[in-house]
Amino acid sequence: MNKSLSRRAILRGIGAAISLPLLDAMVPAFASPSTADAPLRLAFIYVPNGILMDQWTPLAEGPDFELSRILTPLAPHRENVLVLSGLAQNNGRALGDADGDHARASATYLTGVHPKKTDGAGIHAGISVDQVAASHVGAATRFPSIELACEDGRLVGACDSGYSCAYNNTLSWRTPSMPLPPEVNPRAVFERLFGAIDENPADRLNRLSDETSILDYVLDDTRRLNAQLGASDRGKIDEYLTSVREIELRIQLAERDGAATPDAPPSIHKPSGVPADFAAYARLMFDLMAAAFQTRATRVSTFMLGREGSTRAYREIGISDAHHPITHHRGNPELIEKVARINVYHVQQLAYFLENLKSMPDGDGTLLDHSLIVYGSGMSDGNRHDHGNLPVLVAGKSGGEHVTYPGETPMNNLHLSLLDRMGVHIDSLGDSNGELFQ
Amino acid sequence: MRLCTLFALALTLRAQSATPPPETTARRLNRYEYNASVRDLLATPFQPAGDFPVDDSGYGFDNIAGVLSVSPVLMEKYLAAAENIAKAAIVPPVAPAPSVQRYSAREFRLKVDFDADYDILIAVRGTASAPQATFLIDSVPAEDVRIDSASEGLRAVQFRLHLGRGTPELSVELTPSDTRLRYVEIRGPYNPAPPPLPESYARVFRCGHAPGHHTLSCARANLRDLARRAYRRPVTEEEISGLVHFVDMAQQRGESIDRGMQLALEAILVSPRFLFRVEPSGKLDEFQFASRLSYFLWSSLPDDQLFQLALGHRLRDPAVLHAQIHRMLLDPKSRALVENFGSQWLQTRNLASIQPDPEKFPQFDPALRRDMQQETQLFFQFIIQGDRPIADFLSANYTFLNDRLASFYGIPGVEGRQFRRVELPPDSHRGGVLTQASVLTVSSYPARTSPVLRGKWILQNLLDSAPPPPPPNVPNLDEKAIGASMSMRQQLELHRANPACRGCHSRMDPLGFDLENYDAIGHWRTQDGNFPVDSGDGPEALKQYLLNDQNRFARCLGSKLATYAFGRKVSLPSATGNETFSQLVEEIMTGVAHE
Repeated sequence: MNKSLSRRAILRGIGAAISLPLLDAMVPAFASPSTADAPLRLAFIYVPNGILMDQWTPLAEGPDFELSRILTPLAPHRENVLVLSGLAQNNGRALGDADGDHARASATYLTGVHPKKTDGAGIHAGISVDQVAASHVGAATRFPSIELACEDGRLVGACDSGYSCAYNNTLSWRTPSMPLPPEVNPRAVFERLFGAIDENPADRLNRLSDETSILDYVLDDTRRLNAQLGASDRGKIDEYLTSVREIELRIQLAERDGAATPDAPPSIHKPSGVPADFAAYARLMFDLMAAAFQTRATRVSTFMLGREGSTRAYREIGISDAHHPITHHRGNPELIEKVARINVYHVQQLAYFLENLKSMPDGDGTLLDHSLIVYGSGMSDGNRHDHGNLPVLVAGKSGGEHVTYPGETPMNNLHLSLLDRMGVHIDSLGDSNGELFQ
Repeated sequence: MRLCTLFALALTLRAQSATPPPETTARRLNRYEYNASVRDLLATPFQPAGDFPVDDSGYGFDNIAGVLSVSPVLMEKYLAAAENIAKAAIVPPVAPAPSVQRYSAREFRLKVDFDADYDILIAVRGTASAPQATFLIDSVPAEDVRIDSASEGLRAVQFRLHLGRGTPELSVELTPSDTRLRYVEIRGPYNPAPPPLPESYARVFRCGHAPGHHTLSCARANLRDLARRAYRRPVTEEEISGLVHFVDMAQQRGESIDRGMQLALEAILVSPRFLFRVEPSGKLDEFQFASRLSYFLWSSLPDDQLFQLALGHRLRDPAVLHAQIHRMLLDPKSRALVENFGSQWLQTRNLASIQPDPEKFPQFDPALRRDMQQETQLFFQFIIQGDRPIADFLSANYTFLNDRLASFYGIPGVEGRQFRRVELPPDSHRGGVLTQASVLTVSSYPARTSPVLRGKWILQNLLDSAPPPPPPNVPNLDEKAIGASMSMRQQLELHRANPACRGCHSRMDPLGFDLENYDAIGHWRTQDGNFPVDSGDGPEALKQYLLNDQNRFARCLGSKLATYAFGRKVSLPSATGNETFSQLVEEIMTGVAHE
């Protein structure tokens, strides 16, 4: 690691002439490559409405940086965290589409694609990085990916003007037109991962076989239906077909694995519902994600601590104002302080998650050693709706460095590098123009 | 299928990303529609879609075709729900093995699920004499027994009684009266009468055979009928054969026809023909038209009457359509229109999650929240079922109140918890949705009113001209100053002085100011902090202003209703404002339907 840093120190002198800092020496240590024994897991944790950048960004660069106020809860994990400054999601900007920055912040975060401005007809963004990973490595796990959130999108009239709520409610896009709704109920997440009912192995195999017959019928029926439809009527039916096939594949996998019903790890019990306290809620969802990673139910996950534009009032820490309006603080110190406390509160939950991952043995190390956990927001300054210099950190086996990228380095370059670490080698994603770690 | 399929899938996905998405006309059922459709198909009593992901919305409604996809997670849930529904709908209930329940009270209520014999054991504390026990069912003596005192251990007596289904009140009287009861035990059921089949069973097996006595030919007839209702159109013999295959399959495995029917029902419930309504961009066929109408007004399947009319090509006949719309609006199922359209149009759905500041509004409790919701729902329901002029939404001289809400409004003479229609006194300051606490609360901030939010609410929901959101980084109001050092109007005038803000705020603020006499939970007030309320022209003038321009309101409501009915952005320029509710519905089903 020191070796790479000396190179960085040299590069910094060259400044903007070098478009991408070379972190090749550091990155192999950053996360162990996947082995059959301990495959690499990938998660994206999202917070809405931006983060106060002057209280997030460490002042110093390199390994000797001091944790900023907002990052302070991560002190026990400092050596596992890489803080990345200067990354941008240019497609989150208006680019002629006027207002709607909140919708674009979440829709571009993992896609790097400018979303189509529409309230209903023809929603369109891009395949998100987690789904690219899921479609390559997900076949070997029970679930290609899981999507979680701590807030559902049930409010009426709360979405960004001119944009369907679909853009605010998720980070994950299976196809450019198929957003994946996150699960908000911890009980439902548990039941999905570890079964809703106790079932003996023979019954389970029978059920899987029946489900296969049913899906075969449905595939046949869909073909007949499609023959009756015009091409323009098929879009949604084709998406349906994609999902049917995916479930069919999953059933085959379950049959191949035999009749073993996966058990929940002893550390986690079946939740009864949604906790009222935010920290308890977020931690429960984090526990479920850790359990999913631990039991190899999946290797890929996204988690929104709040939907973009969230108006949650964090009364748990004495803030009764709605989150979104106070991020438009227009310099008012009192409001800024409230936003900062929310930002810190969120990072405290992340620290809990990292601690949890560290405590779980996995292969030759811990679960955190075999994870890439990305944390951040699709906006930097929520007050001005800025999509440049985004708050981003990656936690994993090693880190302990703050790196600033020049100018407008696409965040999707990070995504490409993460995919590379996951063993998924593709040339480009969204607006990427290279890899972050070469 | 083969693991390489996933790779092929990935390629397909990449190929799809290159082409723009086609126009969508296949409408997925949303959660409410799924629940209602299953209910009307099978008469099963549960809400299977409770665990489905929340439906994304567009144009303010959660039934918009373009945004409703079937994600893999949802497909998984469809499959699990179908299994649960089929199990509940088709398996006849079985009497459980006898069990024991023990009670220590002399009076208790027992839930009897089966018409059967039960053993009743009465145990008393040891006494020298032999006490007498009378066992009563619903206060009627059913058994008189002597508890033999010969034994020194447990003093008890047991007898057998026949109990019918229900929740009878059971009691024990002991003589002499100082005899102390230890407990009563109920064991059973024994020799249960065959339990009545659930309604769902009859919906599936229309042939009328008892469970276990179905034949293959009646399975075919049953499936034809079931699939027709689920798919909302006649089905082909080929489709039925695909379903009968499940019955064959079960029989080959040595299982019953009932089990085969379960599998066939599961297949129906995950078929795209059930989960989607296909509405081509051109003219709908008769069955598509019937479905659009029934999902519009009921959020559910067409019933037999609509289906027969569609079959006879008569539903589009103006007189028939007119009569059907009336019938459907009067049917209790039109509650769906109140709950789905009404609560999203007026945004009162948000009442469930809104949290007014408890320090400023201590009187806002769960009961008041429910009452507010209830008032608006009953009001809406009355307009559609009474076929009132749509202008009533703006300025009705009646509303629905119980004692709590009436006292909150300061309207005398309403007693009791039940809601009833109340004629509003002239000085009540109420009448029309704009004066209802539900609307006034959802268009406020938690701690204060906002003329801006209310103005925006009016523009967006009554006049169909929503302003754009504010540009970022514009100065907000100084919250602390409101009501303390500056009035709301002074604050907003300061704000409007900024040219970037003036354009929209000069439209929003005056409308919202007219409602300033209602606080952030809709309570009438004349003082706001240190300042007298400055309410512009007042609510009555605002209503008059909207009524004078009522074709604009009608076009707004009509367009929203049409968008809800069609699942895509549709406008209704023909609306005049003189319509009754059913006339507006007719205009949508005939006018726009032929666009």
